[in-house]
Amino acid sequence: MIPVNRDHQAQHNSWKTGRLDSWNIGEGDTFHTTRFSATRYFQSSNFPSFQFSILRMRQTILLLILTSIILTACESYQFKGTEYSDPQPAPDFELTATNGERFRLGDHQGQIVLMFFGYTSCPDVCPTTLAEARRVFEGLGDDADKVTFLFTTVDPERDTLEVLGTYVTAFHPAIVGLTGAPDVLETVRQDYGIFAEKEVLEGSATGYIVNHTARVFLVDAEGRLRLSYSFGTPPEDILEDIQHLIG
Amino acid sequence: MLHRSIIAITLITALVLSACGTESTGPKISVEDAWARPVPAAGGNGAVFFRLVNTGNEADQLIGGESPVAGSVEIHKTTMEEGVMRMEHIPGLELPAKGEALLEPVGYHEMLIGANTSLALGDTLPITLRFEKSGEIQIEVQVREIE
Repeated sequence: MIPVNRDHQAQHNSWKTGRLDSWNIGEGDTFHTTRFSATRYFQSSNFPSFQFSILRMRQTILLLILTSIILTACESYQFKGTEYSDPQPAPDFELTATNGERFRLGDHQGQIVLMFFGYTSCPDVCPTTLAEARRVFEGLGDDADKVTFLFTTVDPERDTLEVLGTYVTAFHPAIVGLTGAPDVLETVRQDYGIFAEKEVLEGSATGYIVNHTARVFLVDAEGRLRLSYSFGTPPEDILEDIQHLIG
Repeated sequence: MLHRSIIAITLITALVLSACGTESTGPKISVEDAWARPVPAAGGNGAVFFRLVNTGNEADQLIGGESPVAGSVEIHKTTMEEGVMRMEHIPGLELPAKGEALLEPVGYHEMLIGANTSLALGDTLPITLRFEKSGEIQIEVQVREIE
């Protein structure tokens, strides 16, 4: 019987050497001196429960890995854009494209169609969105031909086909500018919930501006209005959603 | 008598010195990080963005500008309200004493109206910024993409 050793450094050293000379905490307690070898303890066949616990641990780890793999596989992709809870066929329309041809949305099933409404005199939000569209196309690489980006004018008065064409293709040749009769454009905007309002700016050489909804809509390959993106959504997020949809 | 004179002179000197200390040195403006968006075709509109830094102890106001590449240059402000982009014409943008004013996307910009040439990435254009007190400051701006 020896007195309790309260020297913490000594206790610490005992773990390093594998010798436990004293290990007790109670005030005034005593403790039998014990020689302890961790290596011998672990290797000893006198401790089958230890070997059993190693086996159990291996099984548990294996189970955990398998479960996580299954969970990852089952986990559904979280779209970056705002999802339509019950995607419906995108309202169809027919407008004039900047390549001079008629563009009917319904003819483009099988493609992912991104849509934005804007105008070429807009110096801030529209060029930002189109520059982001270019980054999406660049990110798509060989899949770029599976995606169409539509820039539909909210200012048909100033955005002639020529003006519109020069503008959109400067950002990316795959971007399609669309225009049409004012009443047809108005119907398309209503179908997609787009606000557009002409406002005369007093004292400004711009004459007028068009305040408008700045949102990108995504129509999936089945022709359903599936997602929309608020202004400022990183193009990488839109790209990731498209890549998921392409599969 | 001499003693009184010394006190009077000291007081006057102190007053003059203190007046000098608060005297306005006027606005001292520098223009930093200026860039412009591309303009795909002549006739289009552009936007120039920059940071104004006023190290002077007097406020000033940016009231417009001009550029040989555009018919007009005006200060405009873009705002986003519930997903709708709006724009307004701003007659003057306040630049506080020892303060800054930022012209950035979806905010203030000097709008180039009716560009007489296209502006491509890497091009530079001269623009003269007009201030209420400081007069004109001419800068060269490079055309680049939004970062």
